[in-house]
Amino acid sequence: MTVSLTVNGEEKEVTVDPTAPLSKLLREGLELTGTKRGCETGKCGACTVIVDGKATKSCQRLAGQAEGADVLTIEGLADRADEGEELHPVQQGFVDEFGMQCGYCTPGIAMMSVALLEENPDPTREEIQHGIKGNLCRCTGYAKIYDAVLGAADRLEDTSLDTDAATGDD
Amino acid sequence: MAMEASNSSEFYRAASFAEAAALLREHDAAIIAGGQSMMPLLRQGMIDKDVIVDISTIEGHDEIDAGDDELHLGALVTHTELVESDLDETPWRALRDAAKVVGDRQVRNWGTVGGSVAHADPSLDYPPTMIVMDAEVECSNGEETEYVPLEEFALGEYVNVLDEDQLVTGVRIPRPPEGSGVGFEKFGWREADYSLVNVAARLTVDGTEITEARVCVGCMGPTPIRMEEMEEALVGSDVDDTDRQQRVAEHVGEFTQPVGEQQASVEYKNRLAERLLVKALGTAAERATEGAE
Repeated sequence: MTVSLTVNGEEKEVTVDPTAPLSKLLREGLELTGTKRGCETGKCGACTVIVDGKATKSCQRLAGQAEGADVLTIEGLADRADEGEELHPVQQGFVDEFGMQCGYCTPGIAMMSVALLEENPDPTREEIQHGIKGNLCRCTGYAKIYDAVLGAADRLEDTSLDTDAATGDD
Repeated sequence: MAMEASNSSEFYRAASFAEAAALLREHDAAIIAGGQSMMPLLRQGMIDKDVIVDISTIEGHDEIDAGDDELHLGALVTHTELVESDLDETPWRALRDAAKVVGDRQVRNWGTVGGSVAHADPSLDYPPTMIVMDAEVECSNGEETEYVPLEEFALGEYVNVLDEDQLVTGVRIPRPPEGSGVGFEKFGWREADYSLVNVAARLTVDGTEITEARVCVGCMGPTPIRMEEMEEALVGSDVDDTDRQQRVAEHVGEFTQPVGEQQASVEYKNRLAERLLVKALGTAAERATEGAE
């Protein structure tokens, strides 16, 4: 079956087994291997991507269900960086706070964090804890991950303040 | 990787429940909507059907409609949509309490009410709450619609009463009688994990006298269990008589059939059910008398 969908802003057509998971469509059909496959049963969150604006574990959607969907993966995040920046604030947050060790869970947690911050741009540490509870990390103990998301929230805040200031000057 | 179970199923996306029902008649088919219960089964090869029918894009069945007589939930309402709804202002607010503790964000974003009910997993969080509110499951084969009391819907673990060509298209929950309050409580190892035990209670009061009671316990048998003898023991008592509620809750183990696990013995689960029941009755009592003062 040929599935037509938008991935990271680009329209794609992929020939794929419609009953394979979306994670397989992304990794093998489109060679977007930033999305990691972990437990394959919806427990670990490593394969989290954003579909139609909502975070999902991509092992929990069928490739066939992606027909017409708008998918954002970790590869598309840097395109959403602020002007003059190389990385999205969430990515920069993970770099600055060293919010990873082996890094396998990082793309999934980054995507979940993007979805979380869109909904709640100024979360408390506890809200982040609740927000990313569907993502497992076996290395860090999470403390640095929460720091990274808090850092990202600060960056997002700075940006919005800058925008306000710029508008004010005009 | 052990989970590389692949299947050669055909895939259809149904535009209506009638089309999905027709596909169920023609093929050995499984239905998928949000996929949060079905995908783990497919991925582990526990379900292997010739055809998979996606109903997630059928229009007009994702509405939360709180009317004068009943609340109607379309089968495709997601847990997140329930969490974001304004049900807190209505007598159905306990459903929102249950929705909040389903899985995690990714699961709540896509998992549906209809799928949750149809799955008939005895540990799911909606059934006890819906059962104490006398919910009925809307079952349709695309031509005829029938309403089955949720209490009678599950026949056993993962087995429901649906005919081969029937689908769950919604759930309707009557407006609880005036003076009612409903409480829901669950315990899982981590917050919002699968429940180890979950309970719901409804108390309806006239003044401070309990005139009607409903108690339902999940995870403690092949289907959620109504506790009718406990209900009878509560009727006629004072809604503020927490000692009596405690004494009634202590009997819960006489009616449950829990399966002991390595980390949770039968005794432990019964003790949990008792404690959760006391809490749920407390919430129900508080909500039943709210606004009466």
